[in-house]
Amino acid sequence: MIPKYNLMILLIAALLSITTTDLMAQQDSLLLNHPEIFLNRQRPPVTFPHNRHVEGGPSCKDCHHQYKNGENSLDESTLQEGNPEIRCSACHHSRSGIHLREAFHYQCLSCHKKNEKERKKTGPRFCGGCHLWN
Amino acid sequence: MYEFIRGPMVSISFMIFIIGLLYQAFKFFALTRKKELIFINLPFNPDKPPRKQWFQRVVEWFLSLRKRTVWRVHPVMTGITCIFHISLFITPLFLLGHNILLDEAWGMHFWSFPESFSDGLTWADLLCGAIFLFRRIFVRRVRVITTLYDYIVLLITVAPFLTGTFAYHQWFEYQTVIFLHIVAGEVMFIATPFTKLGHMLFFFFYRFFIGSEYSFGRGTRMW
Repeated sequence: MIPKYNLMILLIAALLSITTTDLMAQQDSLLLNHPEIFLNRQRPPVTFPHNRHVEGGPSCKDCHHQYKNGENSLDESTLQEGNPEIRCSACHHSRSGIHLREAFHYQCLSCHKKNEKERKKTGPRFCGGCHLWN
Repeated sequence: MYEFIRGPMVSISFMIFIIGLLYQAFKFFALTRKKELIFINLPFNPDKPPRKQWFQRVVEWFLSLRKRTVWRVHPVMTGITCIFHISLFITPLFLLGHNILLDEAWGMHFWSFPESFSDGLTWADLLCGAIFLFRRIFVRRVRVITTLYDYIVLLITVAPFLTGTFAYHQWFEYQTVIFLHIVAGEVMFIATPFTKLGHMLFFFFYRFFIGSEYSFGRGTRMW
């Protein structure tokens, strides 16, 4: 009798722990899903671990940018959670000079490549590292 | 080593590929000389030069293909070989993933097939490769002229496609698969000029420069 209950409690605890970790993961990672821009999507959207990048080395303005005369003149105080203007897709979309797909690829890959060359901790460099089939 | 294989080794293997093929081409032209050839099996009548317009001759040539080409003699095997070679060339060239990496590295790229189409081409290539393998194992007249070398060359050719499929579908551990995929591609590039995969270049030499019954051109070069 008692071992049965123990098992059930363990199972419930395990299930709960899965849901809570999942919810916590949702908060610090962004699903880069833009169905209005990526009309013919060929790979699944990327879940971008924003917090890992905040903690992991690059400063905010290494990625967030607003170039004026070749200089990144972005006001860092605008980088607030929930501000739609700070998302990549605010400027990079299907009609912009650099399409959102290229913006993502250039931004992520250039940094991952640079870090690899400098033998620092780095992120994926090939398709399947970020675009995961589930 | 991991970074070296993924980085500079790609350029090195590509250089070996280009320089190796140039070297083989140079060697071919250095070893062969232009010679007057006599085809005793061709009808030759100096008294009656054929009076035909060029287009008549072209049409006749096309019609004669029906009778004397390998398409006529072995249609299935020729079809399989054609599909294999076409997909071998166009799949990697117009693959979306390759083009994105090219764009990122050099700022230029080819246009790309939809990924599902590339996937289909890869499967076609693998299927043809499997048929070649089974043919070497089970067809007696092919088996007697098959050595280990032939299996290795077939493996070198098919390996990039096999690992590429695994990478695309993310079967098995992705980092390992993509690493093997890059190694397989590099091995193929390096092996091409120095193994019988060199028929990538020599096919054209045999068909256009050397006189034979399979020649497309006049074929005036000989050893």
